[in-house]
Amino acid sequence: MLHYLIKRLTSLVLTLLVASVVLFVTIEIVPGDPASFMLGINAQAETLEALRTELGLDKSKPQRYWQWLTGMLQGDFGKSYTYKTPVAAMIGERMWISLPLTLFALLISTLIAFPAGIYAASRRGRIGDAAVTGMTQLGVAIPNFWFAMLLVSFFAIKLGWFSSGGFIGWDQGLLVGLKSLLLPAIALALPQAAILTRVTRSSLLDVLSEDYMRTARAKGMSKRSAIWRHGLRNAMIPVLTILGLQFSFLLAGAIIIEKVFYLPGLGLLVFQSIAQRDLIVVESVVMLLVFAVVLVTFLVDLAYAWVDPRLRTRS
Amino acid sequence: MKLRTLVPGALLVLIFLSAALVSFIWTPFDVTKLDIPNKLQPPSLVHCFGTDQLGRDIFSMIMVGARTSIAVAFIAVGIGMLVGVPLGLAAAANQGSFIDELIMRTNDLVFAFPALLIAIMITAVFGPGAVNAIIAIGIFNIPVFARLTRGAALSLWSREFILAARVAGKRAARISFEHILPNILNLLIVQGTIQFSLGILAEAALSYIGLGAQPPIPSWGRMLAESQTLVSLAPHVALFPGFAILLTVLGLNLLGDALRDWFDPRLQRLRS
Amino acid sequence: METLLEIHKLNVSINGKPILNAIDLSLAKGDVLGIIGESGSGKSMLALSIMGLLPQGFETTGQINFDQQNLLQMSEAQLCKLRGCDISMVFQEPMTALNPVLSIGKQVAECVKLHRRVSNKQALLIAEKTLEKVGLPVSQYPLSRYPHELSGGQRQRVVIAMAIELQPALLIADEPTTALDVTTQAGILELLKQLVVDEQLTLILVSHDLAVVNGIADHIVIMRDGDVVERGDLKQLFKHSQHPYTRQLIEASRHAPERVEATIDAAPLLDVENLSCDYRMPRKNWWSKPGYFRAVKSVSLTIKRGESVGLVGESGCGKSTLTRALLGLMPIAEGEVRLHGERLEEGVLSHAVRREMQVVFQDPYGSFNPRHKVKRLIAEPLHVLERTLTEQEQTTAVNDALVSVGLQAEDAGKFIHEFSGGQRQRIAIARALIIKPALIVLDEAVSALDVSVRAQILDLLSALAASHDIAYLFISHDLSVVRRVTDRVMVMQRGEIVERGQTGAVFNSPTHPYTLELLAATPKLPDEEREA
Repeated sequence: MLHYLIKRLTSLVLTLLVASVVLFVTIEIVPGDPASFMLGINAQAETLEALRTELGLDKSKPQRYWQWLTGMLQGDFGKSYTYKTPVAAMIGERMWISLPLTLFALLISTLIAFPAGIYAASRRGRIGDAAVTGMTQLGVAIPNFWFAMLLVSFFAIKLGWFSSGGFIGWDQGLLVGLKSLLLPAIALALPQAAILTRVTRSSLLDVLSEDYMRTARAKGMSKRSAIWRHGLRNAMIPVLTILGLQFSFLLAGAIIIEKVFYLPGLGLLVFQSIAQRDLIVVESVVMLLVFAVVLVTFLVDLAYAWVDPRLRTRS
Repeated sequence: MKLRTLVPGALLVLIFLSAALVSFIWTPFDVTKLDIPNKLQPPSLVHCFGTDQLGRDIFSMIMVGARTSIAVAFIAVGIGMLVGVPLGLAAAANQGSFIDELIMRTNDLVFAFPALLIAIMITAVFGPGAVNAIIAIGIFNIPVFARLTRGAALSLWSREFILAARVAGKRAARISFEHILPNILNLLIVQGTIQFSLGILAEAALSYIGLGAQPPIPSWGRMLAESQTLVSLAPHVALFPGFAILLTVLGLNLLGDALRDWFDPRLQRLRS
Repeated sequence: METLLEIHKLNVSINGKPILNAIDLSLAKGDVLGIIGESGSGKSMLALSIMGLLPQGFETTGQINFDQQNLLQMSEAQLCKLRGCDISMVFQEPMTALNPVLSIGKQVAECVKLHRRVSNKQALLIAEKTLEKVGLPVSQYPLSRYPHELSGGQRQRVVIAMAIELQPALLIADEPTTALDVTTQAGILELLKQLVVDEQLTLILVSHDLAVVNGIADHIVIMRDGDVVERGDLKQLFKHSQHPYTRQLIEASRHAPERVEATIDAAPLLDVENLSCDYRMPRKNWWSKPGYFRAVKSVSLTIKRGESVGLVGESGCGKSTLTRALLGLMPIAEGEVRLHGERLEEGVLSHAVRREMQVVFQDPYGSFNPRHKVKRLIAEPLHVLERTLTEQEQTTAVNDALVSVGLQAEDAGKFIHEFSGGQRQRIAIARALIIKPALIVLDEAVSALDVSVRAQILDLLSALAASHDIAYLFISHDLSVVRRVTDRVMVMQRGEIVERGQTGAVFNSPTHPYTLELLAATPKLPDEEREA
C-alpha cells in the first residue's frame, strides 16, 4: 500500500513539474515585453529598465522559471502586470466562487447519476431504462452554456426566483451564497450527470454478467442484494475514473458558466487577463487548475486502492 | 437491438451536413447583409427562423454556421486520428519499451490539463480564430485516440492470429497495418463520432466566449453569445442556434451508438 | 433408497429453439451422478435449470421435484432460501467465480449469514471450519485473504467451501476441474469424493470427460443435443453400451490414430542446445531495474525428420515460452537453436527458417483474422517463399492445402466464422502445410476440441505426417493424448525437462517423481485402469 502511495505521489509531482515547464515555455513564446506593455509606449528607458529588474525580466529564462516555481511553492504567484497587485490575492478571492461552484456541481451530478444509473441497469430493456437512456442522450448533447441561458430566462427573468447573475458574497450567509450558485451549478452538472449516468449503467451491466454474480445467486442471494453487495463496489471502479475526469471538465466548464451568470470567479479573471494580456495571471490560474486536476487524479487513485484490493498488494 | 437509433442519428447528421454543403452555393438570404429595419423578427413565412438583432436571417446563419462547426470538429478529429492512431500502434508494437513509456506518459500529461482551459489559453496566446480552435481541440483528440488504439492493439497482439502472422515472417509494422488496424477500425469510427460531437460542443463553447471563428464568419456559439441579452425580448434568437448544436450532437451520438452495436461481434452473430 | 431429485419431462427453450427435450432423471439420496456431454449437449443448462438460474429469456416446462417440491413452481423468494442452503453449485471457472474486492472470509461467511440467524462472529467461525474442511486451514490461509492471492485450485476450494458449508442435500458441480491442471484436478476430485462420504452429499458432476467421472460417479447420463441418449453404470456402459453415440464417445476418448512408422533420418532436423529464456517482470518503480524471470532453464532437445515428439507439463512450466522461443517469437537469453545444423540468430528467424517451421495454435476461434477470407488466411505464410507466386499458383496452392486437410476448394472464398471449431483447426493445419514445412509445432492444437472432433484431427495429423514426411512437436497438458500420438516424450517442470525418452517407456516405467505424480493424477477410463 505504501509502495502504491509513493508511486502515485512521484507521478503526481513529476506531472506537475513537466506541466509547469510546458506552461512556462508556452507563455514565453508570446511576443512582446510585459514591462513596456505595463508602462505604455511613452515610457522612459530607465523606468522600463527598473521595472524589468523589479519583475525579474532581466534574468535568464531558466532563472526566471526557477524563480516562478519556487515562488509558487511559497504561495507567491508574482504580480499582475495590469493591476500591479499580487496574483495570489487576486486568485484567492476568486477561488471562493469557482471552487464551491465546481464541487456543488459535482455533488448534484453524482446525486442524479448514481440512482439513475443503478435504476436503469436494474430495469434493463424495460421502459424505465429506455426513459433514462433517452434523457441521457439529450443531456450529453446539450451545450451547458445554452442550457444556462435557458435556465436564466425561465427561472430568473420569467419567474424571478433567482437573480439572473452576479454573486452577493458569502458574508450574506451560506444559504444565500449557495442559492446564487444553484442555477450555475445545475447548468454545469446536468450534462456531466448524463455522462455519469451512462457510465454507471453500463459498468453495472458489465458487472452483472460476471461469474461472481452467478456465484452470489447460487448462494441464495436475491438479484437485488447481489447487486448491492457484490455488483456496486466492482462497478465503482470505472465510475471513479470518469468521476475524476469530470472534475477537470467541471472546472473548465465553470469558466464558461461564470460568463453566462457574470460570476466573478476564476473564469472571469482569466478572460479579463487575456483581454489585458496579463499573462502572468493566466499562467498562474492555469497552473493552479492543473494542480487541482492532478490532485483529484491522485485522490481517485487512492480511492481505487480502497475499492480494489488487487491494487493494494501489487508490488 | 439499439440499431433503431441508426436512422434518426444518420438523418440528423445528414440534414446538418447537407445544410453546410448547400450553404456554399445557396442560402435563403445573404448572411453578410444587414437589414436593421427588420431586426428581431419572429419566425415567419419569409424568415422561417426569424431575424437577429441586425436583421440577418437566422435560418441562413445556421446553415453557414454548420459549415464552421462541422469543419472545425471534423479536422480536429482528423488531427487526433492521424497523429494518435500511429502513435498508439507504435506503442503497442513496442510494448514496455522506451517509446511506449514516452507516448503514454505524454498522454497522461495532456490529460492533466483541463481541455477547454488549454484551448482557451492557446487561443489567448496565439490569438482567437477558427484555425487555432482546430489546433486546440485537435491536440486533445490525440491522446484519446492514442490510448484507445494502444489498448485495443495490445489485446490483439496477444491473439493467436497475430502470432501466426509473426510465424509467417511478417514484420511488426506490416502486421500493425494489415491485421491490427482493420480489426480496430470499428472502435476508431465509433470513437471518431463521439469526438466529433465533443468537438462541436467545444467549438460552440469557444465561439461563445469569443475565441472561435471571428466575425463576419457566422458560428453557432457566437450567435448564442450575441443573443444572450435578448433572450427575454426575442427568445427565438437564442433557441434556434441552441437547437442546431443540440440536434447535431444528438445525431452524432445516436449514430455512434448504432455503429457501436453494429460492430459488436456478439450482436453480429445474432444478425447473420 | 429415498429419492431426492426427480426430473420429469423437462423442456427448456429459448426463443422457441429447444435446448433440452423431455429430460427424465431421478436421483436417490447419497447418489453421485455424472452427466457427460460434448459442447452444446445442454448439460450445463440442465444444471442451471435445477438451480433455477437459467439466464433471462428461457422457457421451462415439466417438473423438477426436489424433496417432493416442484422447483419450477416456486417463487423467486422460495428459491433464494433453497439455493446455497439445500442445493448448491460449483462452477467451471474458479478464477472469476469469486468477487475480487471482498476477502474470502467475508464471502464464505456471507452464505451462512444469508440463511441462518447468526452473528458475524459465528458466521466467520463457521467459515473458518468449512475452509479447513476443504483443505484451506486458517493458519495458512487467513480469512482476510483476497481471491487474487490464491491459485486457481485454492479458489475452487473456496467456492466448494461456500457450497457445502450449510450441509446442502444436493451439490451440483459443473465442470469443476476443467480449467485446472491435472495435479490440481486430482486434488479437487479427491476432495469431492471425500465430501460425498463425510457430509452425506448427493452430487451431480457435470463433465465433458468420461475419465473425470470414472471412479467417483455411481452412474452416468450421456447427453447429446438436449437429449439423454443413454444412462447407467459407467463400467457397464463401457463394456456393453447399446447406443451408437455412447460407443462413439467412448471410442473417441481412447482413440489412438493409426501411425505409420516414419523413416527417421539420423541427422537432427531441429537441434536445441542449453536454451534459456527470460521474461521481463514489470518494473517495481520507474527508477528500479526491470527484473527477470527465467521461464526456460537450459533446455536441450532434438527432433528428427518425420518424428513426433511430445512435450508435456502443467501451466506455467515454461512449455509455451519454449515454443515461442523456437518459433522466433521471443528472444533467447542463452543457448542455441539449430535447424538443419544452421544456427538461428537470436529471436530473429530468416525466411529460410520460417519455411521449415510452422505452427498450429490451441484456440480455433482466435487463430484467424476474422476480416480475411480463408484463401488469404491460408496464403499468409507464402510470403516467406523466395519468389512471389502468381495468382494462379497461389490459388492452386491454397486449393491443394484445403483438399489435403479434408476441406473443399470452394471453402477458400468463405469467412472464418462460417466454420465449426474442428473445421477451423483443419484450416489452421492447411495454413501451416501450405509452404511444406519439415516441422509443425502443435501448441495444444487439439485441447479445445470435443473428443469426437479431436479424434478426427488426430487421424488427420497422423495421415499428413505419413504423406508429407512432417515432424511434429506436440505440446500438450493432456498426457493421455500425448501417449497415443508421439514417438518420444519430454516432461517439463519449472522450466526444466525432468524426464525424456521413448513414449512407451516413459509412461510405463517413469523414473522422475514428477512424472509419476502427473501419471497418477491423470484421470483414467475404466479399461486404462486395468492397464495401469
